[in-house]
Amino acid sequence: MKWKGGWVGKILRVDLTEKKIKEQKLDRDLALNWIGGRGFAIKILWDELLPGTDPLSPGNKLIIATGPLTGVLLPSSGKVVVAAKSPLTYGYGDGNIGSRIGVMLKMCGYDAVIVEGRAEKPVYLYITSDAVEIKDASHLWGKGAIEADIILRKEHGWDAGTLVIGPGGENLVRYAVVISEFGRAGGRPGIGAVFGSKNLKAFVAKGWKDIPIADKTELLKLMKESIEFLQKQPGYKKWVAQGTMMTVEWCQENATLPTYNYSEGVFDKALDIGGEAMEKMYKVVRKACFSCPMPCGNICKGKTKGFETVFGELDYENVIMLGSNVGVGDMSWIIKLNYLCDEYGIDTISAGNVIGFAIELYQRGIIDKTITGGLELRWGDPELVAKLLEMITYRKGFGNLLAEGVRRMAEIIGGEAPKYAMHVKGLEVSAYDCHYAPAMALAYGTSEIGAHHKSAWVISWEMRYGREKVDKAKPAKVIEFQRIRGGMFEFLTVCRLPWIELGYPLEYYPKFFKAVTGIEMTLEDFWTIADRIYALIRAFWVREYGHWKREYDYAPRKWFEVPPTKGIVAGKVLDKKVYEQLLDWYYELRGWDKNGIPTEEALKKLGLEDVAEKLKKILRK
Amino acid sequence: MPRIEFNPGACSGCQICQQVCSLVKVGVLNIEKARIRIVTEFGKNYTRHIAHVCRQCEDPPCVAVCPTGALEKKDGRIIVHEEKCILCLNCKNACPFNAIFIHPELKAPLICDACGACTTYCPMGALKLVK
Repeated sequence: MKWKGGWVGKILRVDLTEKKIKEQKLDRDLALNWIGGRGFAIKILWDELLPGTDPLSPGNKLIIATGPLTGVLLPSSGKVVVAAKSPLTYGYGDGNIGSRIGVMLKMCGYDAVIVEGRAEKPVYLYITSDAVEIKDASHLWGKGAIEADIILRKEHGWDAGTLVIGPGGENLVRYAVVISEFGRAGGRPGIGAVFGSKNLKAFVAKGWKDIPIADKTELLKLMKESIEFLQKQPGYKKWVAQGTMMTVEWCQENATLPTYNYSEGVFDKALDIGGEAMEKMYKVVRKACFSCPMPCGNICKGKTKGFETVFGELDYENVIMLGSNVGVGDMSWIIKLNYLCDEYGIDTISAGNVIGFAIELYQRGIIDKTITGGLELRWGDPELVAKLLEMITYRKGFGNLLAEGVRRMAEIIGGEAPKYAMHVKGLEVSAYDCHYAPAMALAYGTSEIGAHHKSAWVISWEMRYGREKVDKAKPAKVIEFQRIRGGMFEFLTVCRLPWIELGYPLEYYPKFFKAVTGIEMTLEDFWTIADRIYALIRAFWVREYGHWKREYDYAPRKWFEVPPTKGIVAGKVLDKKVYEQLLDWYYELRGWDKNGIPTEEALKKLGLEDVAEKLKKILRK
Repeated sequence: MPRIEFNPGACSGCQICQQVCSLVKVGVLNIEKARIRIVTEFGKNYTRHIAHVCRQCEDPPCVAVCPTGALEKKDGRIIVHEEKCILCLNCKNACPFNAIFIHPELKAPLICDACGACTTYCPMGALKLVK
């Protein structure tokens, strides 16, 4: 089976230590069994990474991967996956960014890029259809991510695709991200720090080659239909006006809005920082990713004096983690805090989570001024948050501890601290409180990169289905969402939002896949590939940890032990027995054993016999 | 006089127009072969979407400077006669709107002829075909 389009056919390999640049042909088996994006990333890391590699050493590999549908004329195809072994979790880490680097890499002729080694001095990669250059970045090092992006664009053109890190990545903050095009961030599990550890400040790509397409007439027809479908949806107008920001009001209603480090599910000032307020008072420009007919980028301007000079690109997660989770209810300040995180190149979610954790520990008397360096940590103090963000980015004083993430902080502080550390597998929980949302808690527990909502975002379904219900439908839904959102959308490397937000039919994806590649695949085929990816990601974690325990798939302790006091969730905690039951069912449905390790049989079914052999050897030790 | 009219306040910068243009006019998917370009510029306190597309000038400077007669204004549109073009780039340099594009694989400049295909796909209604 040979494809006629979609994939452009080459993988670029850059060794920064040896300053060597190599091209390799995209292997047919890699393309057809792993498709692209996350699929490429995990397969390459599994095959090539030396087990036990220190994530911040030159031995770690950085993967930038597109999929066959990336950058193609279909709804919201402007995505790219950045992946590596995570310096935050020490397991598989990746992120997905809405950036033109995806389409530009393909126009340069590359489906993916693998970066190895470590440059002697700060460099950036400049890739075109003609050449690949490792260029000096000494003039960019130390600069903010947005600032550096602008300098690069002034030099290489505003139409270039870029990925840039800020000082957070340079200083190896464990949750440093990669930034692109002002406010686009990705790679929560510290992919920005992996860039930094390699002395790699940025990627710039500028291509001019065609992206081959099997059936152009069909592609134009499908896109026309798709745009018409999306625009007919009742939710379209509000989505374009508010994007993910409408989730603030929804979470407040359902009492799932992280507030005071997940102590409460409602926030007094939620409406001040919600979607409606943003739309009416702060939004100034709408911004789309490449090829997106339903743009959700909210470029916002502060109202308070002094802050009108700074814009921020607002999303639900950022606003809540830098807002209610640290007790801040002033949108102008949140815009500024959001801007600071993007300029520093640190993850808004983890940063808000880490700071919330620190404030809670201080308020509970678990840490004091001897640890904070004299700082008094209070809820709802945006100036303190801004100061802490800077201290984290430059690893100054107390910030050096915060830059490690909540899991390491809890280990270092000890005592009661772990009870309030909101993470799974070392990745900070994103913006859904799950005291009374067991399926969503399971989604966090079993997420492939740690506590992230991207894959199994089942919370909205769970509210409709019944929060209190305990049955197999819940783990089954988590797996279904992992297949669709964590699997298909990640390996095709296009956006998941048209489907989840506006009900865009999944059946379109095999149709687009056929029109673009010329290859017939069904949704069932996609789910098998997704399961293969999940099994290999789990095997990677087991290999890198050298063992595995069921408790690594547990939701954070606080949800089981410390009930909220307000709203409809007052007094509720997750039931440990219920969670164990859901986890048992989850493992059973996946064909994993009681400890969450894929069985030989399950791996064989997915064509991963060699992985089964390797796991056996590791676990025998 | 037909031309493409751009509303910057409505545009989101998605570049669907560029993809459609290259598919319809050149027969390939390649935003660098489009006759319209959308660029999103940003800074600490601004983000703006800019369109570069032929305005179909009344008295087009590009046609005036073309030494070979490769460019012609016909029925209100700029027409490119590819076989006559010597790629001297005079037209590109003369255009006050940066709306003429050169591609290394193509033998003549890319100039919008106001066919309107892009406007039928623009999800934001930022592009209109004015007759």
